[in-house]
Amino acid sequence: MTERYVELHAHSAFSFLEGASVPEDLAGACAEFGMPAMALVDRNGVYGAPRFHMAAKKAGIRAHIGSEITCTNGRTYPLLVETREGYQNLCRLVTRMKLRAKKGEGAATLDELAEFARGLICLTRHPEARLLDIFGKHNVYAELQRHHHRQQEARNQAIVESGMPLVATNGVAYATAERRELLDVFTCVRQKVTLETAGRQLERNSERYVKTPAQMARLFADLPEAIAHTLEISSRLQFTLADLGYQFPRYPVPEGETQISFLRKRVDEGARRRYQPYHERARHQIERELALIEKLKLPGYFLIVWTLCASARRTPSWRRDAARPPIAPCATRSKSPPSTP
Amino acid sequence: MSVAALKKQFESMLGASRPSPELAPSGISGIELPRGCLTEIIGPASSGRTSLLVSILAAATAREEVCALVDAEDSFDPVSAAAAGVRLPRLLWVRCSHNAEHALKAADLLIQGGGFGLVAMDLGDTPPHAARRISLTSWFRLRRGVEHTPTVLVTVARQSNARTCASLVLECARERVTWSGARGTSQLLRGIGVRARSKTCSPVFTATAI
Amino acid sequence: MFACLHGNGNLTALGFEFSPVVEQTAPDTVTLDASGLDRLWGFPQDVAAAMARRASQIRVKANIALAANPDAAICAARGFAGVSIVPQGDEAKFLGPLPLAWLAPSPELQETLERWGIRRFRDLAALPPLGIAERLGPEGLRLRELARGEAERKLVPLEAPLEFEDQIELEYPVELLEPLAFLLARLLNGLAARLATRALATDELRLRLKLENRTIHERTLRLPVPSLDTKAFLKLWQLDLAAHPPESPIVHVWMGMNPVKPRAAQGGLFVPLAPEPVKLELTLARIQAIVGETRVGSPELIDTHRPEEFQLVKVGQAKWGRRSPFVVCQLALRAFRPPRAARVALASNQPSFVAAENIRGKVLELAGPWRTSGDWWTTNPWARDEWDIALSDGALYRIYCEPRGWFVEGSYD
Repeated sequence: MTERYVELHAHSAFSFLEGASVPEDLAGACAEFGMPAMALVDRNGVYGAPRFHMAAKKAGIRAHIGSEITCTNGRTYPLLVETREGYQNLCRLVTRMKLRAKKGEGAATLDELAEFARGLICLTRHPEARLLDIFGKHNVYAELQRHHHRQQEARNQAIVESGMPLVATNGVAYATAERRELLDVFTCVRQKVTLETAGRQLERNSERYVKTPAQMARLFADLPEAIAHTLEISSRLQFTLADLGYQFPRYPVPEGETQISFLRKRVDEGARRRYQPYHERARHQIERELALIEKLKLPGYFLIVWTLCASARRTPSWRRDAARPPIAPCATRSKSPPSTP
Repeated sequence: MSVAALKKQFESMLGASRPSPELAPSGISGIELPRGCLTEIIGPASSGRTSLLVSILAAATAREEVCALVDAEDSFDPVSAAAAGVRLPRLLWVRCSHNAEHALKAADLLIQGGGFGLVAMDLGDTPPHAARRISLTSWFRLRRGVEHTPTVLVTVARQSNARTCASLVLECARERVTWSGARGTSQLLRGIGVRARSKTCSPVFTATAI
Repeated sequence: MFACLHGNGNLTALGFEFSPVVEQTAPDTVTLDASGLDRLWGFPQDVAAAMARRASQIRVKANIALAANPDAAICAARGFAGVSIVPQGDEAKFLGPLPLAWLAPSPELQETLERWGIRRFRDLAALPPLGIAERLGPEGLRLRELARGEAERKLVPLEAPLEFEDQIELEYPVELLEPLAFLLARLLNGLAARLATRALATDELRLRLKLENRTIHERTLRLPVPSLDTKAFLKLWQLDLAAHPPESPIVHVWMGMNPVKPRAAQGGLFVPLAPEPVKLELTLARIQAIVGETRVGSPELIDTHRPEEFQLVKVGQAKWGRRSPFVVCQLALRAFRPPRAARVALASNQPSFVAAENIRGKVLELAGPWRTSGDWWTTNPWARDEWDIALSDGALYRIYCEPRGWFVEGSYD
C-alpha cells in the first residue's frame, strides 16, 4: 500500500532567518516524493505565498496557504487557510499585529485570534480548551513532531493523552538535510553570535527536511490516524491564491453612475480642457487607455488618485513638498502616452 | 535482665545519653544522613544508588554547602547531575583513574582539610576485590576524621566495605522500570522505582528520567 | 627617632621592612623614620639590635645608627662601625671625633676652617654661634648645628615600592628541593613582613629561578583569597615545584608578591559550610600530586548539544548557567570513560543483542533512536544515535551508534 501524507507545517526562507529553503525548492521536493499538496506557514505573514503558489502550480501540486502566528502568551500557532474568508481574516490579523509593533516584531492576543478565527484551522503543540472555544471544535488539531528527541517525545505523549484530534507534521525548515547547515548560519545571524558561541541555539540534528510519505508513515506507525488527518485537513483547505478575487476600494460615485462611467465623464472634461482642439489622435489614445482600465477593473484606483491630486492642488504645502504631483490622468494628462500602472 | 534494660540502667547512671547526630536531608523523603558519621549506599548496577547519591549532592549544594566527590572509576556524569539540580560550582570532583588507593588517599586529604558539607566516595564500579583492599583501619580513620564535624561522609559501593564503621547502611534495590509509549516506535524510558532498605526503615522513591 | 643604615646590600628593602618613610640619602646610605619602633622592640638599643639581626639575615652589611634627628644618625652611621645609639641631648659629645669634611662644606668654607685648624665636629661645635654667623654666614651656622648634632629636618621619603620582590644569588648551584625550601622560606618571610607593615596581603606569588643551563624556570601561585600564611605558601611552592621541577640546578632565586588589600574577615552566624580557601588550595595541590593536575576541579557544562561536553575549572569559578527546576530525584548516569566499544546485533534496525567488556545480554526493552549531530564546521563533527536499553543482565544502559561504531556510554543507576 502506498503511504500518503501531506506536510502541513513548512517554513520557507520567507520566515526570516528561520527557514533555509526557497518556496520553489519546497514545492519541488514535495512533487518529487509524490505528495499531492503542502502547506506553507511562514512566520507572522504570507510573504512566501505568491512564489509558493506559482511554484506549486508548475510542479502540479496544491499550495495550501497559512501563517504561524506569534501570540502574546509566548506560544505560536500555525493557522491554515480553509476559505477565502479565512485568508481575509488571516491578513487582517497580521496587519493588526504588525501595525502596532516595531519592524520584525509583533504578537497577537488570544482575543484577536478569536476575532479573526473564521475560516482558519489551528494547529497547536499546547492543547488548551480556550483554542476550541476560539476556533471551534472541528478546527483545532494537536500537532505531533518526531525529530528523535527525548523531551519532544515526552511532549508528544502528553499531547496524545489530551484527547485532541492529532496531526503529524515534520516542522519542515529546509528542503534537504544538507540545508540544516545554512539554517545554523541563519540562526547565528539572527542571534548575532558565531557558530562557536551559538551553543544550544543551533539545530540539534538534521531531521527537519521534507520527508517522504513512507518515512513519515514509519515514524508514526503507532499513530496512523495522525497521518490520515493530514490528508483530511488537506482536503478541507479549499482556498488557493488563485481565488483571491481582489477588488480595489470602491470609489463613491453619484446615483445612477458606475465607476467607469464617472471616470469617462471626468476624463472627457479634462481632455477637452487640455487638448484644444480635441483632435482625433488624442481621442483615440484616451479611448484605448480607458478600455484597458475597464478591462483590468482599475477605474476605482484612478479616481482615488484623481481625488488625491485635487486635494494636493488645494493644499499649498503639499505642492511645495512634492517633487512631482502624482499621476493625474484626467486633470493633467501629459502629451506622452501614460504608462498604465 | 534484657540488653535494652541494661543499656537504660547504664545511661541513667552515667547521666545524659550520647546526643544523636544532626541529620542532613537527602532530597528524598524518608532518607536522611547523619552528620559526622559514615553512611554506606550499596547495591548492584542500575539499582538506583547513583541517583540517590546525586540527589544528596543536589540537596547539599542547594543548601550552599561545598561538597567533594572522590570518583574512583571516573564515572560521574555532570550533565545528568546538573539536570538533577546539583549546583556544579559548589562541587569538587576528584577524578581517579580506576584506582581505589588514590580514592582513599584523596578522601583522607579532603577530610583532613575540613570544611566540606559532604564528602562522597564513589566506589560503585570498583570491582569488589579492589574495594575490599581498603582496610577496616582506613575506614575507621575516615570516620574519625569527620566525627564531631558537620561533614557527612558517604560511600557508594557494590557491597558493604566499612561494616561496623558505618552508622547507616542503605541497600538499594530496583523494584521496577517504567517505560511509556508504543514499543518499537516511540517508547521512552521514564524512570525506575527504588527501595532503599536500612536497619530501621525502607523508604521507596522514584528516579525520573524524563 | 631616626635610624640610618650605611653600607652595602639592599638597604632600602631592609629600611622598608621597618618603616614606611625611607629616604635614600646616598647610594650607600638610607635613613628611615624609626618613631614607633620603640613600641615594638622597646629601647633604642633593642630596635637597633633587631635591625642588625635582620640585616645579617638578608646579607646586608651596614652600620646602624639611631638618633633623635636624621643628620645625627647619618653622621653616626657613617662615622662609627657597627651599631651606634646617639644619646639624646649628648649628640655633640658623641659625634665630636668625626672629621668635618664629612659634612661637605663648600670649598671656601672648607679652606677657611682648615686655616683656622677646625677639623673635627667638636672643634666647630665649641665655637660660639654669633661669631660663626658673623664670619662664616648662614652656611657656617648650619654646619655648626650639624656638628652639634642638633639639626632638624624632614626626610625626603622614597616612593613606596609597589613591588614586593626579593632575590637571592646562590653561592653554589642548588639541585635538591629541600635546601631550596630554606631559601624560599627566607624570601617568603621577608616579603610577608614587608607587606604586613603596610597592612597588605598577597593573592599572587611569582617565582623566577635562574638555572645553571642559562634558562629561566618561572612559576606562579594564585590564591583564591589574599593571605599572609607563609607556612601554607611554602607548602604550596614545594608541591608546585615537585610537580614541575626545574631541569637544571638553580643559581639564582627571585620571588615577587602581588600586594592587595586583605579581605575583610567574614563574620556572621550563618556562614555556609565551606573549606578555608588557602587550606583548600593546599589540599587540592596535594590531591593533584596524587591523581594528576587536570583531574581535580569543579565541572562546568559547555553550552552545546554535543554530549559529554564539560570542563574542569577551579572550585567556585564554574559558571552556573543551566538552572533546571529542582525535580524530585533524577535518574543518574554512570559514565564509562572511555566509552566501551560494543558489538551490537540488530533486528529491524533496532539493537537486539549487546556484547562489550563486562556487559553481555539480550535487549529486553529499548527507547530510541535519539539523534544528535553538530559541529559540522569543525574538523571534529559528531553524529550519533542513542538508545536507552534494558539488558537481560539486569542493568539499564545507554548505548550509541556513530560512524566509528557502537559504544556503551554508561549505565543508568
